[in-house]
Amino acid sequence: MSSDQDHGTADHGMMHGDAESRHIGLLLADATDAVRIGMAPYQAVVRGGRRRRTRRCAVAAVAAVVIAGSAGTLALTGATGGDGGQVSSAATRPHTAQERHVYAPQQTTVGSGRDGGKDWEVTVDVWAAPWDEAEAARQYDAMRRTYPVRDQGGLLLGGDPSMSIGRGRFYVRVTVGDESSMGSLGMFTEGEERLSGKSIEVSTSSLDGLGPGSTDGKLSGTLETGSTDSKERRSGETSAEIVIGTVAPTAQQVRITWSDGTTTDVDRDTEGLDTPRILDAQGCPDSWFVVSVPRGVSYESAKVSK
Amino acid sequence: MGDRKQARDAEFQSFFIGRWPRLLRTAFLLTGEQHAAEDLVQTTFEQVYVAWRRVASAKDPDTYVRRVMINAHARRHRRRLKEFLAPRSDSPLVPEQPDGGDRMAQADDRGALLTALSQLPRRQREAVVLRYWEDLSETQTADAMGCSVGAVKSNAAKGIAKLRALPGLAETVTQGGWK
Repeated sequence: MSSDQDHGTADHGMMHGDAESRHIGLLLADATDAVRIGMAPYQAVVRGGRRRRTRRCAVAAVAAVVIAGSAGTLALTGATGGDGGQVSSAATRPHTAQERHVYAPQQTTVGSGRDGGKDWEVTVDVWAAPWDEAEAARQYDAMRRTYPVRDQGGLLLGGDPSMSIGRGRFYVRVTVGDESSMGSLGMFTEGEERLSGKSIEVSTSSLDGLGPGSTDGKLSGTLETGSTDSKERRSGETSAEIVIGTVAPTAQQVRITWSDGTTTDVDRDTEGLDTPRILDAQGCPDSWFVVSVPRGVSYESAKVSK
Repeated sequence: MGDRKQARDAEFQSFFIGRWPRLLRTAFLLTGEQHAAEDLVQTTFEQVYVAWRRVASAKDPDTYVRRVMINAHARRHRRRLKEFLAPRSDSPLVPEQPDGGDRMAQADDRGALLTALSQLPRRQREAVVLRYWEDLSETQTADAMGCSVGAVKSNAAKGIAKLRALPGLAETVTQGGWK
């Protein structure tokens, strides 16, 4: 990347044989002279990085619900009941990549409902962390086959699959009627931090937003990043929305506050998928909840209340 | 443990400071605005900092950084965060006091180029910037953009064709750039 960097690869220079192209490169270089190069803000970057780490945000994608930290796929699957103590023993941990769901995601429907005459559903795809370069490369190929290129913006980090070693990924798919939007990506690092205590990550997604630009049923519509006390009001009167959130597996209840001050409590031990509840997604370190935003209000804030 | 962390931090600091000027220029071409460029690079390195242990041990950390930056740029684009791609009257892109006719013409040309660049679709802009400013190979550009080499070729060719159509740019190009 630095100017003295060696980019020597086989195809390098072929296109650059074109004198015009070279000159355009010169013009671009000249245009960058307008940039004021100040001191590199090292301290600010470190502070920002630590904040991200604290929030378990390994990488935020398009409106990402980003969760870092995991105690491993099976440990999470076993973390039920809300006390976080039911963790599978290491002895039962599967060892083949297929068993661990490295090459095909585990899919869990974390919420569903009906709005405006159409059924909607939120599904989480969880890809387990590859353990070595071979697994990472094969997973990379599998992801490329699974998702349209335009949905990979936040997914395939780095051309070097080895970057993925030890990191699991999940995708959130919002389906309304026959249309789907792969909107959000999260990553979790095997063996490192995990969402805990009263940590919470929340996003909102417009159900009405699905559709434009669809060419193949896989839409590029995205989840909007929210926060636990988002001030970004969105019209609840004209747009059907859902709130999608993640919490620690120990969380028992989430209280969502709407723009008019009313609240909705989402509990873990609630029956029925159409009833908002906290539940685990297979392979994912944290628990999920999905709530339809009541008409006439918008999402205001959310917190783990129990 | 503490020593190792300190060593990692020092390594990151050195890497960051070394890459800052170049990446800032790249980000400037992608966003068209000084502050947006600084913000993009800073966001990129915050993510790199979090993953530094992994990045540092990678074969080519720069590949990772470029990829993170392109992804961050794409996210901003998709979220429609306001990007001031075209130079404005109060933009630092236009020198306040050009010291002569040539400088004025040069600033105009730069502005025209940046405007044209800003009007390219995002993927074409990224392909052009990475190929012709970052001087990456098609393969490296494809890695950074998360697409095929063919897509890079296509996006770069279309982008360049549009830039060539810029009035005055073709002449400038054939004369070998601004003097």
